[in-house]
Amino acid sequence: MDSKVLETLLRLNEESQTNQDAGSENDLFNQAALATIINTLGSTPRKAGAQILFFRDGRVVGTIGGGCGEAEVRQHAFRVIEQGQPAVVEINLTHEAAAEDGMVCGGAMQVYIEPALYSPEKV
Amino acid sequence: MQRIYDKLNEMLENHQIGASGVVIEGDPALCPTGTKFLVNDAGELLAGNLNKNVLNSLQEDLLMSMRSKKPMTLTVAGGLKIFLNPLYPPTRLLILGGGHIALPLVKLGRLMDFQVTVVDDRPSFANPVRFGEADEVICESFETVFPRVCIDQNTYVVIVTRGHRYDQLCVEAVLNTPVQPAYIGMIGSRRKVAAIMDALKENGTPEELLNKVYAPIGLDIGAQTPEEIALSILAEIIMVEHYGKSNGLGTQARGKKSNG
Repeated sequence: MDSKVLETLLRLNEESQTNQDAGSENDLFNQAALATIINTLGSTPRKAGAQILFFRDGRVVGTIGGGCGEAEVRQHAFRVIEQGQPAVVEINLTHEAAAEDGMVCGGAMQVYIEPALYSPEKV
Repeated sequence: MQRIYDKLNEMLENHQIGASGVVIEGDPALCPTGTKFLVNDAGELLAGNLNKNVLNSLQEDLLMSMRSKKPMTLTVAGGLKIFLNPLYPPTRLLILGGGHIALPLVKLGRLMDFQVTVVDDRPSFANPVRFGEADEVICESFETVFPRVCIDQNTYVVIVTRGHRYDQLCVEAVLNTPVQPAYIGMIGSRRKVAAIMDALKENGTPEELLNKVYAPIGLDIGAQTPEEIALSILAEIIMVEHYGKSNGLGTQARGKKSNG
């Protein structure tokens, strides 16, 4: 596990326990999403286990390889924050847009995204 | 729910090995998507609401993932898809000798997220002012310090003392620790390395143990300055971390691939 991502999660967890806003709109849970690469195929910059935390305010902790692959995951992450539900997305690094940007990794990855500190029991 | 992160924190603080898991395609009745769990190094549940049968069916993969230190995604009976992530205590960099090379090595080690310990027997070298960024600085004789530094399988040991007598003493002590570290590297010219290895062989140290020592240390990047040498050492350590072996100077000197 990425130590910076883990550190941030543990801090969020600690803050959430003393947080007056728990469960409300201002709750930290509703402000960030955790994305984890769960599978890769072919050539990708990072492998399974790489993690990144996207905050609604734009802050980012960790990386899953950068570039348009990460940017695409970021779009999905914001949707996950909105909807409050986990999702698995497929990211293809072979398509034309990526190639036009000079990204020639050529692989594909599967990414699991959930609201930070998500638990199904809470819903 | 928070219990899982509390437990995770506790595990990391106690330097325990384990694994975390998350159900990425669940079954609302059995295990909904997003269910998390935490197990110890024996695969026993520490936290989380994971169905017993599901946990049992995961045992083999959990142990394999922890052993190989590789995350994995698998589908279990009932169609659940689960992601397993092995958890290890932070990797440690143990630097024996606080001279010129130790200075940039501490900085690079911290940059790469290692927990860094420096040992030297001279107070003017082993002090927290000289090594402000180190997590721990120990001033003690190399002859007595070893029980105190707690070498584990996630420790990377770099031997850069001020002289071959101490280097030899350190290699011998590290090879005799109860748990073998992930890496042992020793600085020195080919000639010095050969002399130390010969002396250790005469002392009865088995050759297969000596072959575990990466010496001369580092990857061949033509390093000259202390900073460059530190970089070559850390590059070798990263290579060993990911590939289990390096093709550095020590491996080349032995004329064969070492399996670390």
